[in-house]
Amino acid sequence: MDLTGTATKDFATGKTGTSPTERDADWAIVQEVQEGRVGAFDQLVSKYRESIFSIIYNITGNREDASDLTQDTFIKAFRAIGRFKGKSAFFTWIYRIALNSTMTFLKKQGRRRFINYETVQETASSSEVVEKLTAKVRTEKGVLVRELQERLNESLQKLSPKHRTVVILHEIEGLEHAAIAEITKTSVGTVRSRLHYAKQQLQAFLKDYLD
Amino acid sequence: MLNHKKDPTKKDLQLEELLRFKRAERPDEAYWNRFDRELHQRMLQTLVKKDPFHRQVLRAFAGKRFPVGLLTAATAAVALVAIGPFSQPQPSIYMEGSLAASTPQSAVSAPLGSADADAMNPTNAANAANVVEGVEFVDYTIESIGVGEETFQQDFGMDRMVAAELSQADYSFQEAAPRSGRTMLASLTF
Repeated sequence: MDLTGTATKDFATGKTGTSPTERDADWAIVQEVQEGRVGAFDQLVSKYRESIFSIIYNITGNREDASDLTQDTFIKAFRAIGRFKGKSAFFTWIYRIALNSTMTFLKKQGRRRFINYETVQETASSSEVVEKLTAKVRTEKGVLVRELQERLNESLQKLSPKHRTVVILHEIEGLEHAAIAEITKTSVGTVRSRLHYAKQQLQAFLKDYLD
Repeated sequence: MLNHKKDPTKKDLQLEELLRFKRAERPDEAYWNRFDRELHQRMLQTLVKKDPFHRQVLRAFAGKRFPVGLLTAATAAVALVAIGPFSQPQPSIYMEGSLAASTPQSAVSAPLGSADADAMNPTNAANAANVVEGVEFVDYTIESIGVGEETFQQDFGMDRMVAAELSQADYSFQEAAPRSGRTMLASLTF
């Protein structure tokens, strides 16, 4: 089995698997797996592993937990793929598995939370943010990046899991309100309202950077 | 904490831009290679069918030497757990006459095949009808006396039942005169 395929996530927009073409392509792969060609599942892993890891990591704030839960998500999806009928998009289905696993994990963990951050890779968007901040506060770049990472993660962790999830799916993963509503099994109105509240909270937590 | 010296020429950051910074927090390629290897192992384990329980136990014991004492203790523990529930005292009926003075334990330990033992065994209840006749139920948990489909029950909160189905000729009960010609007697014992 080869898992070296390239992830198709567009990090400029953050969207993965949401277009009708991609839905069809995913469904074709799912059908292959259902017919017994289990190696085809690797293509789905390659395509979604980064976005699923990212969602779980941003919800838990711990890279080790995110790693375990991402693997659990794919194992659960692999076991249950025979029951997937294609009524929803594959990404909706697997994101829902990921979120359910993560929420169950958070409930079990209770208040015992450990923070273990992921490395910040240099990307166009991160560089742009850092440049703006460096000019603004005249702090050494490395220090600024570390501080910003800590503040962002702390701020996200202050939100309730439901609000955190909506912000992560919309602002970081770039999903549309309708897609988030489908994944979280809520209405679009609820998604909008949660997003509005969560962003208000974040504005307050991060006002040092935004003023 | 940041020491802000705001430059008015620079445009303010938006929350959305700041949150997009989170996209840069992601693992490197080496991490994904390791992830894929581990995931493959777990997927293969999912595909491998598990053996039945007895085979797993046999495999666990195969080729291993255990001290005789340990094995004996383990066997004894299993036997105790298995036999335990049956070794509890189970007195069911307190007899009048020759058995009136006997304790519940003595009633349970009566020789198999004796009239007393038969009376307590539901399968032999019909044969033990003559013995049951004249029995006084001095203590019981639930008594259920039914005629046809009508049944009267009294629950005293105990949990073991010995039931006997008797013909009217074998057993009669003043307060529940049978109409259908058959009387069912059931008594729960402790």
